[in-house]
Amino acid sequence: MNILSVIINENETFNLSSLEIFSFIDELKCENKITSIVFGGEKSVIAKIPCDEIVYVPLNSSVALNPNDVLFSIDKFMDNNLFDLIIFQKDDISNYVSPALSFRKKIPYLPDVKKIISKDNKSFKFVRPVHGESAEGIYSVDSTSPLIIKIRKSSFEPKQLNENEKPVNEIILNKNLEKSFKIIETKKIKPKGIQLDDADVVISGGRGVGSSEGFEKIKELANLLNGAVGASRAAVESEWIETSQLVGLTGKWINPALYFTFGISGASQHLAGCINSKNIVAVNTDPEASIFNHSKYGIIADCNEFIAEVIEEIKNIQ
Amino acid sequence: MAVPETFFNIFPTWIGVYGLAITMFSISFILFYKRVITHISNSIYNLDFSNIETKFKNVLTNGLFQKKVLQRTSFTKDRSGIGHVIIFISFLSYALSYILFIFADSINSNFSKVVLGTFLKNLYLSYLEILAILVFIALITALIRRWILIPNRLKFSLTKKPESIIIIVLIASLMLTHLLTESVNHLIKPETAYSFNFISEYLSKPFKSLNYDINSYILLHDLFWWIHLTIILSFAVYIPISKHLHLLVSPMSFFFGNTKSSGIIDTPLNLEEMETFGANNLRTFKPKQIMDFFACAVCGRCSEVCPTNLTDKELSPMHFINNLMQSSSKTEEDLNIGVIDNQVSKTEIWDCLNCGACVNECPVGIEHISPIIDMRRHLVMEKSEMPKTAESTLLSLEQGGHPWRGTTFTRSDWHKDLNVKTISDNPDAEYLLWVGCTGALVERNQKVIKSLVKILNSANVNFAILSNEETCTGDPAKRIGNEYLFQILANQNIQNFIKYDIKKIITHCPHCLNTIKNEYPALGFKAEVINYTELITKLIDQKDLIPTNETSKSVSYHDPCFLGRHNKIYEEPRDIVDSIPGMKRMEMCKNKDKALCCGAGGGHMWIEESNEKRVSHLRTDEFLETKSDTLAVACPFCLQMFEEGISAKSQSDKEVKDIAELLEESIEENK
Amino acid sequence: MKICVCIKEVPDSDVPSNKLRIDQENNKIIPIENVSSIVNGFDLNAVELALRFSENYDDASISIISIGNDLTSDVIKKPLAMGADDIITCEDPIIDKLDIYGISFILSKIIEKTGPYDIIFCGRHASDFDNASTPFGISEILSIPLINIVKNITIKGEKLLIDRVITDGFQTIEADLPLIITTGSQVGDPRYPTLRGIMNASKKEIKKITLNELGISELSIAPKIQIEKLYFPENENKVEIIKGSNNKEKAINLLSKLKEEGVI
Repeated sequence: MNILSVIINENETFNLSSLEIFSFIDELKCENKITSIVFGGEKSVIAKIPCDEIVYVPLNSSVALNPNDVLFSIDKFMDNNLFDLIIFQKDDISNYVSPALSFRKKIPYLPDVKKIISKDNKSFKFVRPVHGESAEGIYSVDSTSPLIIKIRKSSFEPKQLNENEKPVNEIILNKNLEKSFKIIETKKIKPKGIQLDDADVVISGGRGVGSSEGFEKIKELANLLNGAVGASRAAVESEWIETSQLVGLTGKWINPALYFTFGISGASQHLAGCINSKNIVAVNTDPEASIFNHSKYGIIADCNEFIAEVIEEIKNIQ
Repeated sequence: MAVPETFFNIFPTWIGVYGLAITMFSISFILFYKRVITHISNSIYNLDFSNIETKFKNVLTNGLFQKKVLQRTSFTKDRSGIGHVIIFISFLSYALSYILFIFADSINSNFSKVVLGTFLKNLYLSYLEILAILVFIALITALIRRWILIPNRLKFSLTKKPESIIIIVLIASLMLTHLLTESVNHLIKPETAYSFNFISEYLSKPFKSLNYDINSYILLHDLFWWIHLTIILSFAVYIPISKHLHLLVSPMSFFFGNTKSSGIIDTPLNLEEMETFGANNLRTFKPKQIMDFFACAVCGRCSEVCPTNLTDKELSPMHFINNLMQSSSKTEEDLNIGVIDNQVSKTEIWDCLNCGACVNECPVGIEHISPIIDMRRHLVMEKSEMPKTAESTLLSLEQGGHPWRGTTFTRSDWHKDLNVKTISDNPDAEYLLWVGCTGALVERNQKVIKSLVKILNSANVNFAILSNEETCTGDPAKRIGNEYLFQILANQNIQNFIKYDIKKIITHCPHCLNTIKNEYPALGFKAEVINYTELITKLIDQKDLIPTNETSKSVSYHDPCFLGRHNKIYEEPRDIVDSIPGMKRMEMCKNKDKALCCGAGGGHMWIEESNEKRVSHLRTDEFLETKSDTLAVACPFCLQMFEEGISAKSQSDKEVKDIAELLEESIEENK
Repeated sequence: MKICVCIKEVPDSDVPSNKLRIDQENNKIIPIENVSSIVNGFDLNAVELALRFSENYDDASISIISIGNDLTSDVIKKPLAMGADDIITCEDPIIDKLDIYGISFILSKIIEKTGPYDIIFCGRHASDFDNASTPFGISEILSIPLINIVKNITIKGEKLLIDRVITDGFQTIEADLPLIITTGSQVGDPRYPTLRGIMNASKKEIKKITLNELGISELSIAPKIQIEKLYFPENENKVEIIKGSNNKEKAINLLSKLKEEGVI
C-alpha cells in the first residue's frame, strides 16, 4: 500500500504525538511504502521520521497557517503521487483538511479511528467512538480503493524516531489564492501556570466543586503537586474557571500520570479527554457516578471537604 | 349633640352641611375615581364576581371583625392591633352617628331624638365620648410607638412619612372638637333626663368658669361644631390621597381576595388568545392586584416577616407594593414602558420565595405573590429573560420532564429492589402514591421515599406508583413564570390520572400537594389529594402503625411553607413525632404560620440568592437555638436546604431527617 | 440576505451513558426511557449565531434545513420558535443508513433548490456520531468556502470579520460571502424561545421535499462507509474505593498509595 501520513507542526517544534500514526501503520501489518508530508517543524527532527520518504514544507512562523493552503498543497501533491491510504491525526489544521480533502478528491473518510479490527482484500474494519465516546462502532470500508483516516489521539503509542537522518525533499507551500479566506490576526492565549498538555499531574474540578472559591482549592492542590488545572464543561460554563482549562471531547485531550478529579460525574464527553491518563483518581459523593467505572482509585466524599484534607496532608508531608 | 340652627346667622345649617358635604364628597369621589377606579377599569382583565357569599363573608371577617389585624395581638407582646380596633370602631361609630346627628338633624333638629328616643340617644353620645378618650390613648401610644419606640416593622423611611402624623392630628382634632362641642352644649341646653355624658359634663367646667353669656356659648358651640364638620369632610378628601385609602380599598381587596389556599397561583386557560403574557404595567395587572397596590396601610408587617428582607435583599414586600402604587402616577408614555426596571427591579422579582409570610400577615388583604408571578410571566414568556439557572431548569423540564438537570437516575431506579407496584400492575390500588421528581431523582431524598414506602407497606396500605409515567407536576415552571410549560406538564399528568381512573392521591412533597390539590382543578382534575402526614396520623390512630422502638433524640419540627402556611397542615406532622416513644419535641421560636421559609420556594431550589446572606442559614440558626439533636422536616426541599445549612455551620452532631425517616426507625420490622 | 441553518435531530446528549441502549437494527443509540430527542446542541448555537447575524440586515430571512427519518415536528421547530422564518425537510427511511457523503449530497441539493443562500450555518459536529464532516461536504459540493468553529461575526463594510476558535486562542478572519460557517458552544447559549415564538412556530407548515423531487436516486447515495455494529465497550476497569473512617484518613491512605506507586 502507498501510504501518505500528514503531519502538521504549526509551532516551530515537531509534534512528537504525530508519531502515533506510524504505530497505527505498523498495526495494519501489510506491505507498505510510507511517505510523510510534514508542514513546519525542525528539519533535523523531521529527517528521523520512521518512514520511507519524507517531504517537508517549510512554514513562515510569523504568518498564520491557512488550512486552505495545506489542503491545496496536499491536493496538488496527490496529483503527481497516488496513495491508497492517507492518514491524519487530530489538530486544528488536520480537523479542517481531512474531511475537505475527502470530499474534494472523492475519497472516503473515517475520523477518530482507535483500533483496527481486520483488514482483508475486500474491506477494512475499524473501531471508532460515537455518541460523545459513550459507545463504539465497527465501521467497514472498501480496502480496494483509496481511503483517508484520522486516528484518535493517544489510541496508539508514538513510535520512536529513527537514529539516523534520511534525506528530506523540500517543497513550497502551495497557496490557494481563489477559494479561500484571509487570516488577519491570530491571538494565542497562553494560560497562566503549567500547561495542561505538558503536565504530569492534572487536578480537575467539575459540577461538585460548586463555586469559583472551590476552584481556588483546586488551583492550590495543583500548585502543591506541580500540576495543571483541568475542568469539566459544567465548571467552565458556570464560569468558575477559564475555558482554556476544559478537558473533554471538544476541549483538551490529555494523558498525565495522575488525573485527579473532584466533583466530576464522568460523562463520556469529559472522559474522552482524559481516559488515556495513566492513573485516574476520582472524588464524588455519588457512589454510582460513572467516573468510578474508569478510575483506579475512588473516594466517596464531598469534594470540597476532601480536597481540604488532601491539601493539609500534603503540606504535612512536605 | 345639638345642631346649630344657622351658620352664624348667614344661612340655614342644612345648606351649609349639605353644600359642604356634597362638595367635599364629590371632590373625594373624583380623587378616588381618578386615583384608583380608572386604573382598575383600565385593566385588560375583568373582575370576578363569582361566589358572592364567600366574598361578603371575607369582607365581614377581615374587614368588619378585623381578624387579620388582631391575629398577632397579645396583651404581652404586640398590642398595636388593639389600638387599630379602637380607632376602627370609633370611626364606624362616629360615621354612623353623623347620619342622624348631622345630616338628619340639620334638616329637622328633633329627628334623632324622635327616632332613637332620648335614652338611646344620650347613651350613644356617652358611648362616643368614651370612645373619644380611648382614641386619644390609642393615638398617643401610636405616636410614641411609631416615632419614639420604633419597633422593627416601623424602622423604614416609608413608615416615617408625615402622613401618619397628619392622620393622628386629624383624628385627635375630630375627637377634641366633638368633646368640646358637647361640653359647651351642656351650658346651653343642659340635659335633665338621661344624662350619661359625664366626660363632656366634666369638661364643661372650665368653660363655665369663663362666665360668658349664653349667646357667646352658643357662638363657641357652633364654632366647634362647624370645625368638627369641616374636619370630617376634609378627612373625606384626605382619604383618597393618603395611605388612609386603605379604608376604602381594603374592603375591596377582601371582597375580591383569595379565600382558598394562599399557595394557589391562577391558571389562565386561554394562553393562546392572550394579548400579552404576564404583567408589566397597570393595564396588564389584574383589577385585584391594582386594588392591592392602593390598599397598603404601610404598617410594615409584611416586610418584618419576609425572608428576603430579613437577609437584606432588595425585595421588601411593603416597598414593592408601594412602588407599584407609585407607577399609577406616571404618564401614559411611562406606563407603556413598564414597571420592570423602573418602579420594580428584576432582582426584586426574582428574590421572592413565594413563602406567603407577607400575605399571611397583611391586615388589609394584599396578596403580594400574585403580581410577582405575573411579572415573572412577563419576563419569561414575553421576553425570555430569566436567571441562567432558571433557564436550564426549564430546559430540563421540557426535555426530561423533571427539574433536576444532571441527575443520573431514572424514576424507576429507587424502587428497583423494593416491594412497590406500579399502577399498571396494580390498577385496583386504593391510593396513588405521588413520588415527585426530587424523591425519585435526588439520592438523599430517595431515602425518604423508601422510608415512606416501608411505612405504607407495614400498614398494608394498598397503593401504587406511576414510576416512569410520572412527569413533573409543573410547579417549578409555574413559579418561575412559564405558565405554558406548567400546563403542558400538568395536562400530561392529568391524562395519566384519567387513564388510570385515579381517585385518591398521597403526596410526599408539599409543593406537589399544593399543585395537584389546589391548582390542577382549574385544568379539570379533581380527586382527593392528601399529604402523607394526614394518612399516617390516621393509621397511627387506628393502630395500623405502632411506633415501638424508643429513641432518646430531641427534635424540632420545621413547618414547610407549602404544607403549613399555604395549606394549614400543622398538627399532623407534630402528632407523628409525638407518637414516637421517647422523642422529645421542642418548638422553634417561629413556628406554624410564622415559620421562616427554608429558602427554596418560588423556584429558588434552582435560582441563586441575590446576596451572600442565605435564608436557609438564618433558619438553621433558629433551629440551632433550640439545641435539639434533630431537625425534622416534611419537605424534600427543606431537607436539602437544611442539610447544607447544618454542614455549612459545621454542626456535624446535628442531623436533618424527614418525619417518614424518624417514624420508620421506630416501627417494628414487619414483613 | 438569505440565510440557512442545517440542523439535525439527535437523542438527548444529557442522558447519562448508563441510561442508553443500542437499536441494533437501525444502528442507533436511544435512551432507555421515553426521553424526548433534541436539536443537536451545536446546531442550536448555529441558529443563535445566524439570528445575531441576521439582526444586521433589514431584509434577512433564515431558513432551517433538516433531513432524517421520522423527524419530530415539535423538536425541529425549535429554531423557528427562536426566530427563524421557515423550515424545509426531507424525510426518508434510507437517510438513517447513509454516510457523510449521502447526507452532504442531499443537504447540498436542498440548498441548491431552495437557495441561493448568502450564508450557511452548521453545528461543528452532531452529538450522535461526531463525524464533523458534513459541512465540509457541502462546502466542496457547492464550492463555497468554509470557516469552522466560529464564535462571532462582525460586518466590516463589504466584508465580514469572523472570530474563529483555535486551540489555545482565536483567529480573526476576513472573508466574503457566500460562506459556510460552523459553530461550537463558544457562540454562547442559544436564546430561550419566547412563548409567542413557540406558538407561532407550531402554526407554521413544514415544507417537505422528497428525494425524488430532488432528483436523487438511491444508487447515487449508496453508502461507501457502513456501520457494521454499535456496542458499549467492555469496561474491565476495577476501581478501588479508598476506605477510612473520615476524610482525613482517606486522604492519608490515598496519598500513601499514590506515593508507593510513584505517581507523586
